Amino acid sequence: MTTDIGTLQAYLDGALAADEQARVAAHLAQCDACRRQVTAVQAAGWQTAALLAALEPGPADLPAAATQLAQLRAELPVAQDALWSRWLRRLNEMRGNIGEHGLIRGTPPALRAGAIGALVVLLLAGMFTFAPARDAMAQFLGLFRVQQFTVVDIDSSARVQSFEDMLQSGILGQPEILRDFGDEQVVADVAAAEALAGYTARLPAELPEGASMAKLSVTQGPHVRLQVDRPTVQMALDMAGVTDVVLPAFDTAAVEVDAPYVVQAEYKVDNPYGERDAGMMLVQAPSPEIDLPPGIDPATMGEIYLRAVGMPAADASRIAQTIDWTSTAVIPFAGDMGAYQEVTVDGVPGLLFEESGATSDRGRERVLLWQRDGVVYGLLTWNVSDSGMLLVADTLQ
Amino acid sequence: MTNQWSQRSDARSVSGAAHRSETEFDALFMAHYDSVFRQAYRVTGNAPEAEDLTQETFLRLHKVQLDPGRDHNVRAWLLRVVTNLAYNQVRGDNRRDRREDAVFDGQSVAPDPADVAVRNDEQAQVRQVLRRLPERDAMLLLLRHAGLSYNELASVLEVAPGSVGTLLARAHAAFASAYEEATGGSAGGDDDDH
Repeated sequence: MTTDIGTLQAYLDGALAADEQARVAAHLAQCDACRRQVTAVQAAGWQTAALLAALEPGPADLPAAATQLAQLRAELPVAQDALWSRWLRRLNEMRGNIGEHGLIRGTPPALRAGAIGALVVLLLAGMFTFAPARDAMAQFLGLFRVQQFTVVDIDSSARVQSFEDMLQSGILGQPEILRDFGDEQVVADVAAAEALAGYTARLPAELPEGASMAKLSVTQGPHVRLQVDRPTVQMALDMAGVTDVVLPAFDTAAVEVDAPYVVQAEYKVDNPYGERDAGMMLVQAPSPEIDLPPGIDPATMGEIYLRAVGMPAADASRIAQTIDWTSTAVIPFAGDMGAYQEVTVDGVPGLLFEESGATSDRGRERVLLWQRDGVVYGLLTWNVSDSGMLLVADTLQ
Repeated sequence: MTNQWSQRSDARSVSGAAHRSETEFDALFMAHYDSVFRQAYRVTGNAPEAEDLTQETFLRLHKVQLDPGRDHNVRAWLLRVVTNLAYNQVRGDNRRDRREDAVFDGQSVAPDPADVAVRNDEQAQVRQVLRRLPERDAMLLLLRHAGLSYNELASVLEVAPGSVGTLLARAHAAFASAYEEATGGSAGGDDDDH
């Protein structure tokens, strides 16, 4: 039985299995040669440790971690918090994470109150279609009703973000989960998806060259209820910096959202722009059922919302009157977030968003949103050409 | 470059990405900052450089969104990345040193002024010896020194766990003899009496 230096080294480091440790120990007890060997191995190890210990920085060299963290946070490129990645994160937060681990059981309270509460409470603000642009994908999961999309131009994304962050903090309380998110169910074909989802799903008849379906899945949305009282909402608005609006009179209000099944199709696309990874994700869901408390004027609440995301009072008042808040997904969009254009897609008006600077890392990422026959569609693509996007959207059947 | 989208087929990794909230990132940063910085400093011996390398390492952590099932390996991941980055930097320095050697025609390389300011001779010498070792040996020693387990080392170096002991023992020996050679066989003074 051999005890090579590697075994001896592992023995010294306690890295052998227990029986092997014992075997080597027993062998060393009766073998002088191996004892000398293990002493030499140990000495070399000690010398290494002693030499490497000389390489430590002095106390004055060691930066303060908290300062460094603040510095890193300040330097994180905008792309890190980019529109699309936030959409994706939110989507997955809701579908995957919460669905998988259970909204109550495995999810930290802040996240619970955040992911669901934020959106539901936004609904309380009178918005059936409460929609910061970066939340649009989450909306597809059915937390509101969309019959059309409208972009409102604002000066900066900062206010949208801070408003959203505030809501994410769970300030508005804990929603009651009447039905949790379902697990994502991978299905073989569209017929199976429809059998689960209970509505007609559409998939593209044609795909761009090199594209193939990677996954087709169905996820049931949650049914949640959130009760808030007026002082709480007022406090949230105060924190958002909106102090000069008067909330409608109510004591407590319950918003209930029953979200539908979401059908999601993922596609891989081979090399359309050379070596870059490319792909698409098509998400569709019918409008959810939403019960709002009676007696609240949606336009008033819409105006408050526009104020909260940073729109000046006069503009908010004027624009709020022009929007049908009961059916419109309002997407506050600032020039620093990227660009959007109105397009005709699938025979209806749609919106195409492209993030500024999105070509830097993952390549060119865009999102196309539209609504047809009561179903909301979102097509997220990365490194896919215009014609490829339109081909998919226009050949849905 | 890790592509967030390409991971989508793996539902677990995606949901893990969602789990990795900014708070969680901050916690990881605070928990591991010191050990990552120390590792960068061990290689470069230059505090501002080590600081930059550490920031770069955490920037990458922020980007990758590790799989949640492997959260316990964040530390190993960070140490591996920072050691790699530091060695990339050192390789560049070595090339510069060699060019300078050629230019100054065999004159001994002038030590980095920053080195002089912050390091004593022994530290500089140990670092030089370490840099002359085969890179795999040096990284193995540094990562082990930073506390990686045999299994973690095996996965970093892409070797069987069973061979880590042998590689380590050889690297110790190589390091010891390179140091003795550099210091004329006496300065080490670690020739233990038995």
